[in-house]
Order: sequence, then C-alpha cells, then structure tokens
Amino acid sequence: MAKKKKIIRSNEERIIRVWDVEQVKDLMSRRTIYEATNRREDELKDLWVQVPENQATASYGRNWGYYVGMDEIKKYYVDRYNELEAKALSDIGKADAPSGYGRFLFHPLSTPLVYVAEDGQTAQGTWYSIGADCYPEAGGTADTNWNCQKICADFIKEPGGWKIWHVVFSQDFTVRTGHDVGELQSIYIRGTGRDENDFGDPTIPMLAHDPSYTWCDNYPPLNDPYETFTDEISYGPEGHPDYEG
Amino acid sequence: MTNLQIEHLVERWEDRRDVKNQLGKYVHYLLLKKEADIVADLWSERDDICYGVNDGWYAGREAVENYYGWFPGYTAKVAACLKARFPEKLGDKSDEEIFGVGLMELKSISNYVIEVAEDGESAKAFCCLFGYNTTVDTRGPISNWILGTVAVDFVYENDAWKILHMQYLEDINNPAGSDWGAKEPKVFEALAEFESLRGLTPPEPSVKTELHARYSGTREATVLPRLPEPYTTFAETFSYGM
Repeated sequence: MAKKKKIIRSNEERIIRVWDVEQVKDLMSRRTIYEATNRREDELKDLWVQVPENQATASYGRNWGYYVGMDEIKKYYVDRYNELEAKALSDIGKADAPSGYGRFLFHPLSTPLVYVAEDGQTAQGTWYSIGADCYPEAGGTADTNWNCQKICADFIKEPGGWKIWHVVFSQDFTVRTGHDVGELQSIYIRGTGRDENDFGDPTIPMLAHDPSYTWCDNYPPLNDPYETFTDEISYGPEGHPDYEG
Repeated sequence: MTNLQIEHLVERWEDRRDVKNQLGKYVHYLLLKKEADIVADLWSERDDICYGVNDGWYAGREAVENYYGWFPGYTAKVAACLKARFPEKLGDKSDEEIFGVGLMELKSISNYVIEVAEDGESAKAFCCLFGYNTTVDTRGPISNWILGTVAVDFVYENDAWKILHMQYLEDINNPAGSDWGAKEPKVFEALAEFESLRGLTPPEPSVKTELHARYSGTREATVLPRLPEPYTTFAETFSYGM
C-alpha cells in the first residue's frame, strides 16, 4: 500500500492545529468540572454548540440510546436530572436540602486521543475516565460507586470557538466501593442499571454500548485521522453501526 | 497572522507544556519521597507562597518549608521500623537504600485546565487528582484511595515556572476495599510492632480553616475552586492563594 502523502502546511496552519487540539482537551476538562459542581445548565450554554443548525443535531449518548437536539438534551441532562434529584432527596427525608446535597459525580478524563479534521472545521476525541458516582442515603450514609467509562465526542468550530457537538458516554461498569467487580451481573439486562433508569426515554432508544461481561464492545470506536466530518464517523447516533434512521 | 503572532502562540503552547511538566515533577517528587527538595526545586523563591489543604493553609515560606520538611524524618522512621520488623529482607541495607520503603504516594493528575497570562509572567492550572496513598503508622501499612482536585498559581521565575500558591483538596481519602459511604470509617487496630511510629503526624496548617469538606453523604454540595479564565496579568484575575 502506498504511504499516505503528508500534507504540507504553513507554520501558521500548524500552530493553529496544535492550539485546536489544546482547546478541545480544555473544553472536555472544563466539562468534567461543570458536571462535578452541578453546573449543568451552564455547561450546555458555555461548552456546547450554540449555532442553531448544530444545536438541532447535537446529541448526548449513553449505553441505552441518544438524546438528539439541545432541547432534548436539556430535558434529560438538566430538567429530568433535577426532578430525579429532588425526588431522591425527598425519599431520604431531605426534601429541603440544596441541589448537590450528598452527591459527588466526579469523572476526570485521561488518556486523550484527539484529531482535528484535515479541513480544520471539526475534531474528534476519545478519553477514558475512572471516576466516582456517590449519592446520599437516608440516615447519613451514602451509595458510593466506582464508575469506569469511555467517552467519545465530536467538536465543531463555531464563531465562539470549539464546542461540544456529539458526546457518548460508554459505561463499562459501576461497582459499589468496597465490593468486587466480580460481584456484578455478567450479562446486560435491560432496565437494571441505576444510570439507565435515570436516563429515561431517549430520543433514539437503542443499545449503543453493551457492557456484558465487561467485554470490549468497540462502540464508540477509536477516532482516526480524517479529512472531513461525515455521518459515518459521527459519535452521534448516525455513526452507530446499528442505527436505523 | 504575522511571524510575531505565530511565535507568540508557540510560546504560549510551550508554557502550557512546561506547566504540565512542573505538575508532573511535583507528583513524582511525592512518589519518590523527595519532599526535602520540593520547595527549593519547584516552588517560588517568594516569601508569600502558600499551600492549602482541606483543613487550612500553610501560609508563608516558613510554614510551607516546615510542612514538607516534616516528611523526611517520618520516612526515615518508617524505614527503621520496617527494617526492625523485616530484618531478613531489609537488615543488610543502608538507611539510604531503604529510604521510602513501605510508603507509596501516587497522586496522578489529569483533566488539565491551564491559562497562561498574556504577559507570560504567571499561569493558572486546575486539574483532577486520582490516586492512592500508602502510609505506615501504628496500625501498619494502610492504603487509601484519593480523589480530589489541585489548583495552582505559577509564576515565571529564573527561566522556569514555579509554584506560588497551591490548593490540594481531597474529596475522597478512604481505605482501599472499604465502603466510602458507610457511617463509620473502617477501623484498623494498632499493632505492637509499629509502636515506634506513634505520634508521628505532619505539622498542622498555620491557618486552620475548612477550605474544602471531604465527601460524605451529608455534604451540602461539591464546591471546587474556580476554573482558570483567560487573563492578561495576575493582578487582574483571582488567586488560588489564601
């Protein structure tokens, strides 16, 4: 096979592309902290796409499907989250507690793999996160869990800079702290995951990532260098091999 | 874009890289038990340096030096204790050879958010910390998982980025294999063979205050230091110092 010809770029183009990668990593690092500090609505305003046509196609994916469009994403990620949190606090006798009470949702990112498209208009990235999901319980104890997940995302350059366009959180497992991963059920059973129940009804329900046996279901796949963005390589639903749009 | 502008962008990228490298060095100094060199090698020469932890500040050069200066003595005492406990494995080794034995402080950092001032004189970094710390005390070796954040002000000094202020804030610091959400922490009994380590604790912060509450099922919220924002010069932005 002939070796791909290296594109010759000016110094200006090269440093801009170097900064593009920096900015994409910065964006996702900031997202982690927005989520941890419960600034969900701010995250959608500050870090996600703002151009209407991009907002219409933005997506938030998890193992059980995709929310599509910023309105749907907000309904899931902000409104439904707030409702469920308020209910959970009420259930443990803490209805008056502030949002964020007893919670610690901490998903630091590492192992970045980021490519900017040859046309410079979009970028794709993959990260892995070993983090924690902790929730309050009645009586002052907490439900504390390790959370291991791969995170992939598409980014697009808008007038305001790089923005998150499609993101998919592909969760491999959560396990209660102090417990053995081997205690987890081996086979994925629809409707049994805590996060899955929180996820509600996505715009496009589908098994996006199968965590059975914690095997290496290669979705989302690692991003490769690319020329220009296409649906086929998207981390939105269109890029999933089982998508039936 | 002019050559000058290109040069400027390259320089800013190099600054970010160097700031990350300094943070990486800091983590490895802890891992290698080189606390004795940390202040001289990685911190600013200024007298107003400060180091914040969950329960307060080590404010000023003397307090910061006292804090890091405590560790070499502790590390040596742990080594001596373990040498006495395991003479068949450590008995023929010198104090220098076994300095650090039994301890492992791996506080790996990731998730960087870094802003370098336009004037190139200072920088701010915020990152997440994921790691563990194995300490040895009267209960023997205890390994804890640690999750938290680190927020740092850097100053450019003598051709290098140096730490001016650092906040090291833990959310989780719980024994490995334990349920972090349990009401009572896991209890480890004291062991007679580690009695020589009784009473060894780092100096208290010079300014006691609750800088950051560790996680519990009753914590009000997760409040973290402000993320760095683009800025021109340090005087116009916020400080991670006291």
